[in-house]
Amino acid sequence: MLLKLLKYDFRAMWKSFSLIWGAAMALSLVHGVVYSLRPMPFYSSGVTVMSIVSTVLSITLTAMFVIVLVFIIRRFEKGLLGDEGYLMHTLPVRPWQLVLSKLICALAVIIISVAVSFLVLILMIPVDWYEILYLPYLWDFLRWTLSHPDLLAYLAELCLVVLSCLVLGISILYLSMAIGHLFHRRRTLMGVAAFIGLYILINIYSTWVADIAIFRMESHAGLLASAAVVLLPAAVCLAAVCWILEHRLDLE
Amino acid sequence: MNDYLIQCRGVRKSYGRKPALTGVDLEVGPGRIVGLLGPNGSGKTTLIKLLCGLLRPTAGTLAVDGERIGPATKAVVSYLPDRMYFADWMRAVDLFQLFRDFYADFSYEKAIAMCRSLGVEPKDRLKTMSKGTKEKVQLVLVMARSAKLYLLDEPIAGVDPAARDFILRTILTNYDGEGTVLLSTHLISDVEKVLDEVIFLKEGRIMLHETVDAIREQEGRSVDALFREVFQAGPVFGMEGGMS
Repeated sequence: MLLKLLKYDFRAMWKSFSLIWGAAMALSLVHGVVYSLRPMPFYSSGVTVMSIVSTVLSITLTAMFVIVLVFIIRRFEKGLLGDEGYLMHTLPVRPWQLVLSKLICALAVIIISVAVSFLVLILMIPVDWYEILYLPYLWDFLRWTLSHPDLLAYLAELCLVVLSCLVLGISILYLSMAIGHLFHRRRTLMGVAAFIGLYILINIYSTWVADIAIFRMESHAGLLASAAVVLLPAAVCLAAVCWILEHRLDLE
Repeated sequence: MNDYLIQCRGVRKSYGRKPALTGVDLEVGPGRIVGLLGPNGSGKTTLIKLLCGLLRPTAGTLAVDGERIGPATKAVVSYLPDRMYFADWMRAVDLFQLFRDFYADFSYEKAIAMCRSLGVEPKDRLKTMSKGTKEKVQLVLVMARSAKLYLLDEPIAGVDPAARDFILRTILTNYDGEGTVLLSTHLISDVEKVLDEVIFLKEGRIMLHETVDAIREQEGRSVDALFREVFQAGPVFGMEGGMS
């Protein structure tokens, strides 16, 4: 059932982002083409086009991340706490499946948007891949990396810590909205107040945890422990969200 | 096989301090068309939401087909809420695919056929449809299932008499004969002719649960006439004498 929910959520994501992801890539391509024409006689007009495209591109990328945040909030708020909840909560699934599906989709939209931003940077300034791939130091670096698998493990663990932080951030957002939903009036205001309260609590928790020596970033154990320490409050938040959806749902 | 499709025991539901249901005991068998009748605020929608799992009772127990309310009962309940619940970016066929994915008893082909007979183009986007057409799509979603229990919350409220007949005909010609239809309304005269049983709800309590035939035989009058008597509002002070 979770896969079926994900199919529905990913379709909604694609509907919302296909245009902006496509626009960002297309603009970066235009920028890249204009950039590659720099030595041409119409250099000055090329610079003008480039500056316009750069401005539009930076606006598009900023808009993309604003839309990501709005998307994450609205998919949860409208989908589970609004009128669409009449459909979602009468499907033969458990509340944790509904929440997990929204969470996975939110993570996916962030990761894809970051990937699109990197791709945009690569496309913006055309590079000679042949030249890059045949640089001797690149192959030396790759050989050195492969001979030190520890480094790859560190990289994977670092990604896990970043992912855990994202999960925590989204969980706090979800719990804030769910707490706001417990009130009959001024739900948005209560949700914002809950967010501020949870943010302060998490800050106190992270300050307390940072003092413990084991959670240093220099060792594998430290990185894995850091991820676990971040995931712990996230799990508590998500459990609270599921409990509210199961026991205190009021779609009126 | 359970004798009763719906079983409620001492069900109470409060919204904060405000009670909506105050001790409901109810048993409804399979293959019945039941009218859940009562004035606004009597607890009809609350009872339906409890049965479809949108709300949890404050006290008491509910069961559908012998199961406590949960994913297993949601799989056999087809629910028509009193509002639109779908995302505008979707098309009717997207919703049909969604229902086919989640409900084993949903017939995609029947849904398409119902759309054709109701004059709905299933590939149109929902945001381009009128309110009435969206309501038809929602009705198709509910009636294209062979559910054990159909919960229809005010399906004929807010539409003209011709549309009421049309909606009722659609329900009657499409529901699974072995299933039970629980239909809430306060427009009794429109639905009386199709009902097997009626439940009168007043201030969160069941005032009456009887077959329509028994009411006609014992009371010698229609359900509508009985309803008017049971729910008759007292005179408003200061209005009887008119203006002097």
